[in-house]
Amino acid sequence: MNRPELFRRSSMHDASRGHTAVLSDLVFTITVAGETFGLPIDCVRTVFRVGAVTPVPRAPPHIVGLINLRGKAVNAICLRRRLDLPGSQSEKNPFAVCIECAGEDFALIVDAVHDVVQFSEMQRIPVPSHVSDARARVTALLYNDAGGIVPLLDIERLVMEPPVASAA
Amino acid sequence: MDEVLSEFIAETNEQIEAAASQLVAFEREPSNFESIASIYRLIHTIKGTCGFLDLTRLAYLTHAAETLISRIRDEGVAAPEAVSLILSTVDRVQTILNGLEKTGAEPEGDDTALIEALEGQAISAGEAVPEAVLAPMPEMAEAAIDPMPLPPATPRPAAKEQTTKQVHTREAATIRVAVNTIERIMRLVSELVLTRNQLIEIARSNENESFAIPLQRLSAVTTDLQDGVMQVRMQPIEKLFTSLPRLVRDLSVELDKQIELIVEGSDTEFDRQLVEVLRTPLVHIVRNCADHGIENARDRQAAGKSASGRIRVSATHEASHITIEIADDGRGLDLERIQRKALTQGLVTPAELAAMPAEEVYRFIFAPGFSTARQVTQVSGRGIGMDIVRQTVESIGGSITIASTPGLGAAFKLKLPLTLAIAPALLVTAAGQRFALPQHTVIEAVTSRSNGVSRLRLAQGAPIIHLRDQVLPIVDLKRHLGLSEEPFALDDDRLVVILRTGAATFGVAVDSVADVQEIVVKPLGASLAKVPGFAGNTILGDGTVVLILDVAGLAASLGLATSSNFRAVAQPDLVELTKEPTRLILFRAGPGVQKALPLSQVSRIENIDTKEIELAGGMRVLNRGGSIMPLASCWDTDYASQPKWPVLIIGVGGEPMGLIVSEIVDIVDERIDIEIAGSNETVIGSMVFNGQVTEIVDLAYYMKQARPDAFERGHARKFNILLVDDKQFFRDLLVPVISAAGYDVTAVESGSEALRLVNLGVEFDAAITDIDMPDMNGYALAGALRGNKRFGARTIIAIDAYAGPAVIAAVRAAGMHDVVGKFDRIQLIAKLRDALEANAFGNSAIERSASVEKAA
Repeated sequence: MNRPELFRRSSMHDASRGHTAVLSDLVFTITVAGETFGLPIDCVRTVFRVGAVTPVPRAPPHIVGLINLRGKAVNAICLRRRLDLPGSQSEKNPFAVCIECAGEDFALIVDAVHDVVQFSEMQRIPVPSHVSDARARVTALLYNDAGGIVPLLDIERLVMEPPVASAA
Repeated sequence: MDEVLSEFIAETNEQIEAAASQLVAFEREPSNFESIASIYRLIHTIKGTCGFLDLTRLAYLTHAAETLISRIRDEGVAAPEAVSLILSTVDRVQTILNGLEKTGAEPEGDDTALIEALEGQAISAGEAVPEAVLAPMPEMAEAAIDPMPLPPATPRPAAKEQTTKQVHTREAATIRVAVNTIERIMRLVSELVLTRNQLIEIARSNENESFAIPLQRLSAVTTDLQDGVMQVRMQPIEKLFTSLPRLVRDLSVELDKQIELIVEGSDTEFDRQLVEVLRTPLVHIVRNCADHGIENARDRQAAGKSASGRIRVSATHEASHITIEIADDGRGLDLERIQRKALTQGLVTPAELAAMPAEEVYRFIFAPGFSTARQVTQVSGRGIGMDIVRQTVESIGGSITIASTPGLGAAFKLKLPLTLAIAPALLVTAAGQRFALPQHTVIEAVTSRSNGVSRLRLAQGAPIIHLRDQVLPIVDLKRHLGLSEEPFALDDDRLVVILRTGAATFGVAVDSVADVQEIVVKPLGASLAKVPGFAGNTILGDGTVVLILDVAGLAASLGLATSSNFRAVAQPDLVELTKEPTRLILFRAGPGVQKALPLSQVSRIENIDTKEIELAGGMRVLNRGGSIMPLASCWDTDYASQPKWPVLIIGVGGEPMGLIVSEIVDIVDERIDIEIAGSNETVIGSMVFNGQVTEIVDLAYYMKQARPDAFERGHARKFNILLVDDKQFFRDLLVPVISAAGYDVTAVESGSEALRLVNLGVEFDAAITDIDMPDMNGYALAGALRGNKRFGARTIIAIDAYAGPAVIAAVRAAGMHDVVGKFDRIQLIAKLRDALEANAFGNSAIERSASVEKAA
């Protein structure tokens, strides 16, 4: 009951998407450490509050542990630590976004979840070259929005690759 | 496409994929034994399988490659040309596989150049090696040219007919379902079970009657569903056996021997995952039997046997496991040869060998690189096969034993778990976190004693344990997992779990042993696969995620190789036991001889602080955070003399008591054979273990002391429950459930058998019976039991697939107490407990149900 099912609005738009001249991207937005990020809507499964976590000894620091998400153990990743953002998680039961990547489910721990936003193809801008390597590595592209720049995260790199800092 | 063929392709592709990293490592470091061995295994397995699939290109190619790798393995180093040759062979194998997958036949192509290069390299590499390598080549070529070997002279019509008939009936009644779909359903069911458990908890705290009944129904259906889904995973073992007739036929042609195959029990069901895992080991064993076991017709007749040899493959389903036996009537294992070989390979010293029983010597054939074949043949290769067999069987929690009689034949017995999906695990804690250890790797748990049989020591800074006559290395779990930086303390009362994987035996120091639970093993996702130390995860009944420790990884962290450092290990079940051994806990309690209790009566062992022991009402109690548990002791002493005492916690129908002892000595599996009956009321009798006189403690005496109330109610004597069900499946399912609840169970398969036991005078406190049974159904049995003077008005609970209102009415009318859904274990135990307790209080269940009826 405290796990609101996310309505996959993308599916409703999918049908129309092919026919419209301007392609649009549906992006699920979240914030961590005051920054807004976008997640590709197709990866997002559900949003829930984190309960008990089983830590995984010897795992990289951004891996918080395993969470029982409806009878399935999913790997929980702290987005703040993964992106090396300042501050720490203050809430006891923070929000997590369950995302699917390469057949595996992950829980991405974030500060807050927001709406699904529709961006047009015109709003896409490439990642500027002076963005730090660690950040550029996990950013697929940026959206230029009236409210600011929204980076779209590259989920596969985000969850599968070790952070650049520790890998180097 | 042929099912066997498509499975072969899928399997081989997987193996090549898995070996890819090893190939790279091999290229970089050609002298790495690990990677050579794994590539050898890959090639060997492909060769083995394609031999009977008539894949001549692959067979010829892999044989040539195997010969070369075998040389490299023996010499321990590879020339760069050899490395690239092997790599291109693997590429070629993959090309052929791709073609095979598309067309169902090997693609056209000429491998002569590659094979010649491989052979040339093998000869130049093998110059220094005396053993004949190339001897089998002509025979090999012959087999490869002949595309359709003639069937052997011996006809086997019986086996063939049986197979075809079964295939037909099964096809009509089954559908194919993607494994993913089943996995998904399994997951959803586990989620449902968790939610159900939460609901039950809620229902317990607020007593709402209207809520209770639908919840009970939900509970029953959920348990039903869970078991149903588990059963979906089960497959007849026939799937594994279907390839055998062809294999044996081809083998008899290749080896020019007459071999007859007898397959039994192919309808035995077990986990589909196991079917896949066992394919290769089974093929290896059958090949070995045909090659090494069965003699040729001339030798057989000279020995007075029939010209054609027999290989019997049989599967049987026993309580919690499956046994597959592969037996031949050949010459038996050559004991002397194995002994000689073990000595030359340095696996054993002459002195050790002299003291070794034959069964243990036979086990040397499972050592890596151990082969006794005088001549290398295409069929059983070079001994690596049996090594793989043992490893595979052990990796799934099974065991393999050999029996052999010279001149009469040999038998390999594989004892396997029913399913891989659910396995018992020992839950241990380290730094406050729970971890699971697969039960099949656990030998025992010991507490360290500086003056006892389990002493902790440091050997050059590394912790070891002196356990009886063994010295075993110890992994400190906390430190291993990076949960603590503290140096390992050599204190007393440290809990060490002794584990065995492959041939490595070692200890893991943990904080405590929390529980034993059946767990559903799930692999860790790809993102965590790189984290060392864990083999998977599981979700416990309370919803907690627990990591499963990687036992092989723990062994490796100690530098213990699990395969190359082979040491023959005797398996406890080599000898057929007529009487089941009982797991006993041996302990000392004050002065006097050592004492023993069946471990099943002990729910756990704790070390309690002396300051937690208090006197209340003339009795010692353990006061821990306000909850009180009575303590009994076998002798009188001043307990303040020692800061801590080991206590055996004994569960008496949910009312535990503790038995203070002075030292836990050991846990052993022994048959209880009381030699001298007890001279006083505290002891059932005495017997001798390992030359030591041991008293079997009469727990009832202490229970009367500590829990007189519970004892009066009849808890102290174990209730004996009669379980009647015509289906083995349900008997196996329910017996552990009922005995886990603390009852003795006698399971029989028919009403008539049940009545026979009752008439023989066997005392039962309650009966659980299936309703739908052939011959005598549950209603008839209940009637007969009610009419029986001995059984009289005791509780009868019916079990039925559907415990609906109509069934309830019928059951009550037949004089039964109640009816429970077959899969609803929780309800079954609850009803049983209620009824038995009511009985013990004097309020007969039958009276109660009668009054219910009167009121209705």
